[in-house]
Amino acid sequence: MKYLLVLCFAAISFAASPAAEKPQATNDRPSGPTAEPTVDTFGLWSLEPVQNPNAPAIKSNWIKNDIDRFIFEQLSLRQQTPSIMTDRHTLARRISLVMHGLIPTPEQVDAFVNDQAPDAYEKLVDRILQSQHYGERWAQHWLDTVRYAETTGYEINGANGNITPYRDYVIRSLNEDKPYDQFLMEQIAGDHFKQDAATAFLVAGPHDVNRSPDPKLTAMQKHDGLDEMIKATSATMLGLTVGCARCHDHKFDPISQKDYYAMQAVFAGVTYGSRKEHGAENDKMQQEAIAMKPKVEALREKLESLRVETKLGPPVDYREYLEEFDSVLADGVKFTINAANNNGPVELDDVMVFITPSDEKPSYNIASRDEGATATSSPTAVGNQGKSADLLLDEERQLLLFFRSKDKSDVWFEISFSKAVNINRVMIRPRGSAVPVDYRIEVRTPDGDYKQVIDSRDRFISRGDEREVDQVEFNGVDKQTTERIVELNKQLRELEQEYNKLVAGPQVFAGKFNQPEKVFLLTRGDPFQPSDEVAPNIPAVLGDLALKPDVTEADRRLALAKGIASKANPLTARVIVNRVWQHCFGTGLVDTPSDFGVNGSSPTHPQLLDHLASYLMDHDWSLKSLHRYILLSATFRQASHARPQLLEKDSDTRFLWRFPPRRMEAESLRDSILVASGKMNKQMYGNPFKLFEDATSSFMKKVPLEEFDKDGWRRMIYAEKIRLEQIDIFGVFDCPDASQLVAKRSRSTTAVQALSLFNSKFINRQAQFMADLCAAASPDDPDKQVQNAVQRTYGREADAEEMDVLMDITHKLGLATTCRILINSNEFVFIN
Amino acid sequence: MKQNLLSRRDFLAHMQYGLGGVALTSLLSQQNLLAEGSVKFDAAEPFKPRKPHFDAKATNVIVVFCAGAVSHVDFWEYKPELIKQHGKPLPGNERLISFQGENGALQKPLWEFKPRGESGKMISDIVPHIAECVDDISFVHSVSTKTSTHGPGENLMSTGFNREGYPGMGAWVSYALGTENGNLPAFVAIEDSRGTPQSGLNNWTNGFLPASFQGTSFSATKPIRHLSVPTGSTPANESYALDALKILNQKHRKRFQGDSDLEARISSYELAAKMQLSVPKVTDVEAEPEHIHKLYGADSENKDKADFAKNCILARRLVESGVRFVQLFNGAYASAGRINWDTHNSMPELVPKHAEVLDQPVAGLLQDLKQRGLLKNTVVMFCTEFGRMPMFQVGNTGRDHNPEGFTCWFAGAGVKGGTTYGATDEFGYKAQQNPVTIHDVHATLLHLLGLDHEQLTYYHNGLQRRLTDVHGHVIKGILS
Repeated sequence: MKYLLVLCFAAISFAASPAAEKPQATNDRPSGPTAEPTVDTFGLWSLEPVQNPNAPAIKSNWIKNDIDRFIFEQLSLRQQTPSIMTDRHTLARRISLVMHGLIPTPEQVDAFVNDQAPDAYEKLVDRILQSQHYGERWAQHWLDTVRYAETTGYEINGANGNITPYRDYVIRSLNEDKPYDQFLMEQIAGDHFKQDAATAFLVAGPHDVNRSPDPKLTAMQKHDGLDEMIKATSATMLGLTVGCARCHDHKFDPISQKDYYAMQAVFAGVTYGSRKEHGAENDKMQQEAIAMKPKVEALREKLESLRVETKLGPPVDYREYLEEFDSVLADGVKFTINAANNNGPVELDDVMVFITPSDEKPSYNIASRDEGATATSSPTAVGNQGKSADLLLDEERQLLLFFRSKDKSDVWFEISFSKAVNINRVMIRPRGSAVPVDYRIEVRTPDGDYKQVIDSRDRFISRGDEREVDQVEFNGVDKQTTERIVELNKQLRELEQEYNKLVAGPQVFAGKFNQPEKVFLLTRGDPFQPSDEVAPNIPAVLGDLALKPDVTEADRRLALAKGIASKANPLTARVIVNRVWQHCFGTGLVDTPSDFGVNGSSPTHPQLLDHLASYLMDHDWSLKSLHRYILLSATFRQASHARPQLLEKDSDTRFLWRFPPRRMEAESLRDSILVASGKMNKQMYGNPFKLFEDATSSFMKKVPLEEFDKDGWRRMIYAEKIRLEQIDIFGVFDCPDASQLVAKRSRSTTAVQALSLFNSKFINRQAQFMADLCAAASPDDPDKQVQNAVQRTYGREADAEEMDVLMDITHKLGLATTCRILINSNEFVFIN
Repeated sequence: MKQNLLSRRDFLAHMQYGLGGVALTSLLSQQNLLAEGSVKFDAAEPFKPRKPHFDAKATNVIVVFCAGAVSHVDFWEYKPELIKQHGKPLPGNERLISFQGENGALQKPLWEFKPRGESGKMISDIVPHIAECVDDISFVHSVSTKTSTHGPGENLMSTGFNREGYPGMGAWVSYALGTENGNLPAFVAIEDSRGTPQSGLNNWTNGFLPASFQGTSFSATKPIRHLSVPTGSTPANESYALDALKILNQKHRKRFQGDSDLEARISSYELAAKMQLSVPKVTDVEAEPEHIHKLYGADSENKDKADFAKNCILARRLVESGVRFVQLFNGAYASAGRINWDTHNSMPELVPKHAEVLDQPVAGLLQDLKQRGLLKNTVVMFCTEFGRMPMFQVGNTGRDHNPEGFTCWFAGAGVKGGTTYGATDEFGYKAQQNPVTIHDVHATLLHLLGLDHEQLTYYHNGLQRRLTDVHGHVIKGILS
C-alpha cells in the first residue's frame, strides 16, 4: 500500500543564502513552508514526522524521569520488571566508562561513594559532563561513524595532509555543547560558518590518489571520491543508505537513482585537498605577510636591475620556455646538462624542435615520434616507470612518463630527426621543478659535425637554482657580480618561501571547493553513460531544496546542510538520539544505527525514540541536556545482574530489564590501563602520537612500535590513525581501520585478544608501572599494595578470597604479575 | 528475504494507544536472526564446524596470490598471433593509453611456450616446475577486473569489492563453515618474507563480519604477534598466572550468572594457551624431512625462494591440521618491480627473479598435497590482481597493467585437471571467449566448498551483503 506524505518543510526550502551572510544562530533561520513534497515513502516509519508522545501514566518508586515510564511500560507489557538500583561503586565506574571511556580513579569513586548529599548523583553527572574527557570519548564515536583517518587509504595510503584539526574540532564542539544542528551544518558548510576544519567531514574517507592518464580509471576515482561523501552524509546524519542508489533506484528504500545524483550534484565541486583555515592564526600570518612584502619586493627589484645591468636573458621557466637561434640545417640536436634546479637529477617532459617557417611550409615539431625522431641518452634513472629519452618525443605531458637522468651532472641526450631540416627554435618542457640550469644545446649538421647554438650561461639565474656560487657562471659577467647575484637570489628564494607560506595561511585537509561542471544521472553508475542533467537536492522524501542546476557551489552545500539540520526533517534528531542511546546502553533503540530504512530494524521503543528526539530539539539540540536526561533515568542507574527468567525472554536486554553489561572498546581499554598504571598523559589536541615506526616509503606496511614514552601515553584518540593498518594489541578488540563507516562496532572475543593482552610488552610494562606505584604508596606492606592494585583496576576493595589468590601470586611471581592478571580479568574489561 | 517491519499503521497505533508490545517481541526475535546474516553461529564458539549448503568437493582452500600482477601472456596463455605480429601496433588500439600512459608495439612472450603433460597444454619456460603439473590444473584465461590500480585490484580479488572494508574471501568462508581445528585460527594469511602485499590487512580483513573471522597473519619466518610468553617469564609461571586469572574470572562469573560473554572470555584464554603450544608446532617447517625441503626448494640458496618454499610447506601443514582457508602471498608491495610482480620496466631481468621464487615451491606444494591425498579435499587457487599488456610501454622494457584479461587457475578438489576455460583475444588483450569476472571466480570457489554464493550473506549498512556483490556465476566448465 502506498502512503502519500505531505510534510510542511519549514527549514528545508529557503533559497541558499549568499556566501557573505553572517553565521546565524540556528533559531534565526528563515521559515515558512514553500515545498510540499509528495513522494511515496513506502510507509517507512522513520519518515513520519517526529511526534512528542506523552509519557505513559505509570506510578512506581523505581521511576526517576519520563524515560523510565516508557521503559517500564514495555517491560510491564511483557510481564517483566526492571532491576534495582546498582551500588555506588559500580555506578561510578559505569558512568565514567560510558561517558569518558576511562575507569575512575579510586579517589573519584570514593568521593561519590562517601557523598552524603541527597543530590550526590546529580552532582556526579554534572561533573562528568563538564569534564573535557567527555568530548574525547564521544568524539571517538563520531569519528567511527565518519571513518576518520589521517592517511588516504588505497595503494598509496600516504598522509592526508593536516586533518587532525577536524578531530580536535569534534572534541571541542562536543565539550562546548555546540547545538547538534549547528554541528552538522558546519561539517557540510563550515566555510560559511567560519569553521573550516569542520568540512574535513566531507573528505575524511578513503580516496585513491594514484593518478593515471587512463581516463576510465580517473573517472572512476572521481566518482568513488564523491560516493564517499554521499554515503557518509546520508548514513551518518540521516540514517539513509543513499549509496545503494548509485547504479539503480534503491532496492528497498524510497531513494531513487536521481536522489543519488542530486546529492552528488551538491558535492560535485568538492575535491580531496587542503585549504586555508581561517581564524586567529591565519589573521596573524596575513599581518606578517603584509609586513614582509616590501622586503620581498625590494629584493626582487634589486635582482631585476642586476639582470638588466648584465644584459642576460630571462631565466628558465619550470612550465615551458623557448630557445631561439639562427636557422641552421640539422638532422639532430644534442643537449649536455651539468646541473638542474634543486641540485637533483634532470627531469624533462618533452623537447620540441621546430623547423624554420617558410612561405611554403608552416613550422612544425620535427622531434616527434610521429615524425620518425629517435633519441639516445646517458644512463636514465631506474624506476617503476620508464625514464628513457624516447619519452621526450611524445609531445604530450604524461603524468608518469618523462625523462629522468640517473646522474646529476654530465647528463646528455641526443635527438635524431628522420631527415635534415632547417631549424631555429627548441621548446623545453621541464617536469616539475627539476629544470636544467646549466646546459648547452648543439645541433648536428648533416655531415656529422656538432655546432653549439645555445648556452644556458646567457640566461639570468633562476630562483630555484641552488648551485654553490663557484659552480655558477654567466657569460660576460664578472666574478664579483656573479657572487652578488647568487647571494641575492638565495636570499630572495628563502624569503619568498617564507612569504608564500604566510600568504597561504594555515592549511587544513578539509576539501577544496570549486564551481562544478554539470552533473548527470549515470546509467548503471557508469561515468561514460550520462543520462539527464540533475540539479543539487536532498533526497525527495525529505523535501525539495529548489535549487537551480547552476547554483553556486557553496550554496549547494549550505542548502543541504540546512535541509538536514532541520526540526522538520524526520530523520536527523531520531538518528542522533539513537546513537546517544546506543553508546549509553550498548545497543540503540534501533539496532541498525545508520540505516533507518526498510532493511534496517524497527525501534524497540518507537515512542521513547520520538520522545527523546523531541526532547533534544526542545532543548536547542543540546546533546549534554540529552545525556543528562538519560543519565538521571533509573534505566541507566539499574543493576546489570542477569536474572535467569528475563535472560531467557530477552537475552539481548533490548527491553532494558537491566543495564546491559558489555566489554570495553579498544580505546577505553588502552586508556583505562594507563589510568590504572598512573601513566596517563592528559595532554589534549594537536599532532598525533605514533603507534608505528616511520617507514621509508608510504607503500610499505608499518611496523608497530613496542615501547612508548609520555607522548605515547596520551589517550588513544590522539594516536595517528592509519588506514589499512591494524593497531597492535588493541586493534584486535574490534577497533576499525577506518575503511568503512562504522556505526556499530562488533564485540568479539578471540584468543588473539587474550594473547595480546596477556603477553605484549605494552601490557607487561604498564603492569610493572602500576606495581611500582602501589609498592611506593605502601612500602613494606604487601597486603596494602595488592589492595591498592585492586582499587586501581576494579574501583573497589578485594574480598578475602580474592586476596588469598592475589597474595599467593604476588609472593610467587611478583606484584607486576598480579597487576597484569587484574588488567586481564573480566571485572576490569567489562562495564557493569 | 525482506524482514518484517512496523508498518505505518502499527506505528500510529503505538503512538495513540501504546499497544503492540507483544507483536514487537516476535518482530525482534526475527530481526535477531536476520541482523546477523545467513549463517547462525554461537558467538562464544565462532569456529565450531558448520555444514555447507550442499555436499562439498572441497573442505579446505589454499589461495596463492601473486601481488603486483603476473603477465598472463608470458606465463600461462599461449598466443601465436602475438608472436607473429611482434613489433606491430595492437590493431584498433594503436596508441592505447593505459595506467601509466602510452603503450608501444606488440611484444611477443619473453619465454618460449611448449606443450606439457598428457594434456599438451602450452606453458612458458619461465615456470618449468609448475608446467609439469598442468594435468592437475584447470586454467581460466578469460578473467577481467574493474580497476587498473594495485590496491583496489587486490581488494577486488580478495574481497569482491575494489573499495576498502569488505570481508576477505577467507573471512566469508570461516564465517560460513567454521573450522576443523579449534586450536588453530580458521583463516591464515601468509605474507611473503619480502613484505606485505599492497592492500595489506584489507586482503584478509573481516570487514563488517564479526572480528573472529579475520585472517590471522603469520608465516614460516614471522610468528603470530604476542604468541610467546613475556620476556623474563617462563611457560610454567605463565600457566600458574593464568590459573589465578581463571579463579578470579570464575568468581566474578558467579556474581553475573548467565552472561555468556564472560564465559567466552574465559574460554578465549584457554584457547590462547592451546595456541601457544599448537602454533609453534605447526609452523616448525624445519621438522619436515630433507626430501620435502628439496621438493619445495626450501633448501635453495636463494633466500627469497627458500622463504617462500617454507611458506608453501607451512600452507600444507596448516591445511593438514584442519585450517580452513590459507591465503599465501607471493610478492610484496609496489617497489618498481623489485619485490613484487609489478614489472613496468626491465621485465627480462626482473621476471625470472620472481618466477624462480614462485615456480618450484608452488609445484612442490601441488605435488606434496597430491601425494598425501590432500588434493582430494583441498582446492588450490592461483590468482593475481590483473594481467599485463601484450605490448611493452613506450620507452620501457615492461608491460603496463591490463585489467581487461588475465589468467587464474584452479587445482585439486572438484576441479577438472588438464583443462582450459575461456581465452583472451588473439593478442592477449581482452577477455573474449567465455569471459568471466572475479565474482565468477569467487562464486566458483564457494561452490567447490558447498556454498551457494547467493545464500551466504551478512547484513551491513542497508543490505544483506555477499562476497559476490550482486553478481557471480559458477564457472561450470572447470568442475569435475
